[in-house]
Amino acid sequence: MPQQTPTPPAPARLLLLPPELRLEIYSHCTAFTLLLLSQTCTALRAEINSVPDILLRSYGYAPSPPCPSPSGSAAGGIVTIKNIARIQTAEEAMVCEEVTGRFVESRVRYGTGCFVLVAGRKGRW
Amino acid sequence: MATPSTQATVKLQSNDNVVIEVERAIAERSVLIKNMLEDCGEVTDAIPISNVNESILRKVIEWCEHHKNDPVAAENENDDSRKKTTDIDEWDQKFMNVDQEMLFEIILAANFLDIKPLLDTGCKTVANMIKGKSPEEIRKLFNIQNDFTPEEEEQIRRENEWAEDR
Repeated sequence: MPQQTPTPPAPARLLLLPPELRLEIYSHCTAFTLLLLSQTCTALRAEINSVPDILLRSYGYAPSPPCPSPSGSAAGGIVTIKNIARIQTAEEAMVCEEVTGRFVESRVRYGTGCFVLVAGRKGRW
Repeated sequence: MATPSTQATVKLQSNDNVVIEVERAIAERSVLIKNMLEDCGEVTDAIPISNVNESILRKVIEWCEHHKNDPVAAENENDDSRKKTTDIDEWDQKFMNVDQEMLFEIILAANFLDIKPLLDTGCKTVANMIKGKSPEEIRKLFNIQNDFTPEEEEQIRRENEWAEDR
């Protein structure tokens, strides 16, 4: 009986797009989304960290780390959690708490809501 | 320069050789086609759309038909204004409610045909799909292989820490 060849995995369509179209997608992402996207694979990590202009313009990006990182800098130009000042949605806030173990607080200013990381550690209260 | 044409319809030919006749005003949502028609004047032959197959071309035409009366954005309009939001209107959300294969094909077609508002809608749709997902969920969504070494994984874990976590 002939052996069945395993079905090859579906190609990662996002990675097959021309880079300029991925940059278009990044330009609509929040800083926190870009951070998480940059933690999925080496290609996206290198690409996202090579476009500081897009990161700088993204929602919630903090160019200067609001608190010192373990190594004393924002990991040598790599976007890290220390570059995230604000989070846009409740879904992102939940993921942020999961990834960082930090509380994310909801704040409403000038009629628009946003979420900010606060110093408290989850499960320590 | 060619004499401006008043023809009411144009024919578009997909890369699988299907000819579709559409109103000129609808076809001209594509800057590529608009410029071609302005340069050539009257075009009686079907215009080959070499990078787009019939099903995607029909889908793009459906979008152009719905948006044919939308104001055309100025060519040098600041890109930031259209990128600040990921809001997508209800009709466009339904239009983009397709499988990933078709979504990426629409983005590629919008880019090739130079239809910026459609390209924006497609890219915003993908951005919204990613938002609120963990790296593992994003990998599953797009079938991305995790190719980080254990050292890189550790580096990422440390990047998600605040100084006082250590």
